Amino acid sequence: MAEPVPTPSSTVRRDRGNLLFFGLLVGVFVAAYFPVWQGLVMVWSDSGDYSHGFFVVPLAIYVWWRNRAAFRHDPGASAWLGLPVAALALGLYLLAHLTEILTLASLSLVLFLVGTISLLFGWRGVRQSLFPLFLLLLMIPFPAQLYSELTIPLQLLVSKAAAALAQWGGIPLVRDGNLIHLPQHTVEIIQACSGLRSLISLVALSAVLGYFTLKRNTLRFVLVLLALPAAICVNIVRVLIILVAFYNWQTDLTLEPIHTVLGLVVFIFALLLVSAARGVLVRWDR
Amino acid sequence: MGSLSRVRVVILLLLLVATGIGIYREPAATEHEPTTSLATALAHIPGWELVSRSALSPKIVAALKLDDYLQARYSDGHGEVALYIGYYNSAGKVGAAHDPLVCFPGQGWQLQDRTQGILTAQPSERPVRYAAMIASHDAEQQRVVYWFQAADRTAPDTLSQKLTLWRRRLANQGQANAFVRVSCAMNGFGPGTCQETIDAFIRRFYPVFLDYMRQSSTKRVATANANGRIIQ
Repeated sequence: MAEPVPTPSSTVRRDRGNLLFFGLLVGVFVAAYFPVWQGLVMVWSDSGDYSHGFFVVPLAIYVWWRNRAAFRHDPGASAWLGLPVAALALGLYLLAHLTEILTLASLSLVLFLVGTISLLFGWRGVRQSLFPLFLLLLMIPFPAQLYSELTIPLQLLVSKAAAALAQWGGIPLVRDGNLIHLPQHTVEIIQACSGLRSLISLVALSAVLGYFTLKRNTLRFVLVLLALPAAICVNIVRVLIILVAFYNWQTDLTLEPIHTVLGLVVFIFALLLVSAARGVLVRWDR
Repeated sequence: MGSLSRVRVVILLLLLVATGIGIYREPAATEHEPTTSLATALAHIPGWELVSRSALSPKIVAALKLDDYLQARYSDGHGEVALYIGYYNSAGKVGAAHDPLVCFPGQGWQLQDRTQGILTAQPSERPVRYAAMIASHDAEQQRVVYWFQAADRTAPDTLSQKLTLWRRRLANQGQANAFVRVSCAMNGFGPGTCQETIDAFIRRFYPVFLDYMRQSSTKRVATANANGRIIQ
């Protein structure tokens, strides 16, 4: 007996039904992970380091929507392995919730998405989701201890380099760790000056720029890597500007709001550096 | 939407609902409030005299969400140590920004010679597991020893503390926890001399502090005012 041919109306009904099921899944996912979203929004609001988180989620959703044709379910391609991955993620979520570790709970959220995508759309779906999943990882706050471990060496690097450049330019100073002693004043390089704050945001923006303007994944990866030295260099320049302003004009650029404006200007400069790097990389992007 | 396996969607929905039930119906954390304040409990440490006590500003108390705290200096006639304890009635406030690796560099201190150690204060009790370092700021150098207390257990890091509190929560046990920091100004002495002073202090201080951590009563949680006194 021949298989019944789906009529246009039955296809539409099936699609609507699938959309409802999918919408229900998304809704229940958001509700189950609501405490995590709450915690993340608080971090994004309170910390200058993660304010880019507000843009990451809509951007990730946009990229998924843009690539929606790639998520056509192919029964042959689905991976049941996605089910234990999703279950493991939810187990981690429960553990993270009891131990109140937001980072672990947020990682479980991303892992759950990996498991769900592979279960429903196969590994091809996961491959298509690599970029939005990477973006979601960038919205997750580092544990405070790890953050400190990363910023301490960066602070020292920024202090050393800025002090060396200032001395080379003729400014008499003495550097004592993260303290730079000028004749009239002492500048302290604190965590916020280490460059890590702009680094995370710059990596996110470089990833977005690379994704939308370059075709080859290798070149996109190189562009993201170039964000690291760009962020550190512009922070060295920022500290150097502060030292020069103090020494030559007795002007304190560490006071607000000048300090924030200066930070914004150098961040934009870093973005221009990354854009220039993209301009070079695009020549190999065939 | 294309073809979508509704069976798999239903499986995921069931998993999410089960997890949601676990999340939103977790057992209420037990909050324990001791019958005396830290300041009263640690006013007398055998062999050590309380030299001075200082208060944190209300802003800092609020930022750290402290339920009680003590900031004091003690001397045995030979050496002097500074003690800081930040105390919490419940596990909900674990990680409220006490880790010196986070706080010290942010205030301009440089950290070096970071190590971990174990000290037995009482043979019948678990040893104190601590982290230690030398902190420098301008010309000042301090030997700093600290640990994270979870009920009657010590840990050199917050993760171990959180895991201990999680186990206690599953067993419906008390969630009282604290951060303890003992420091000694090096003043030209080597770190070994300071460490001996700190060790001598901890051997006398810890049994008193352990008794305090074991006190429990179930009352409505209060907040600490600027002097560290628990107020209703």
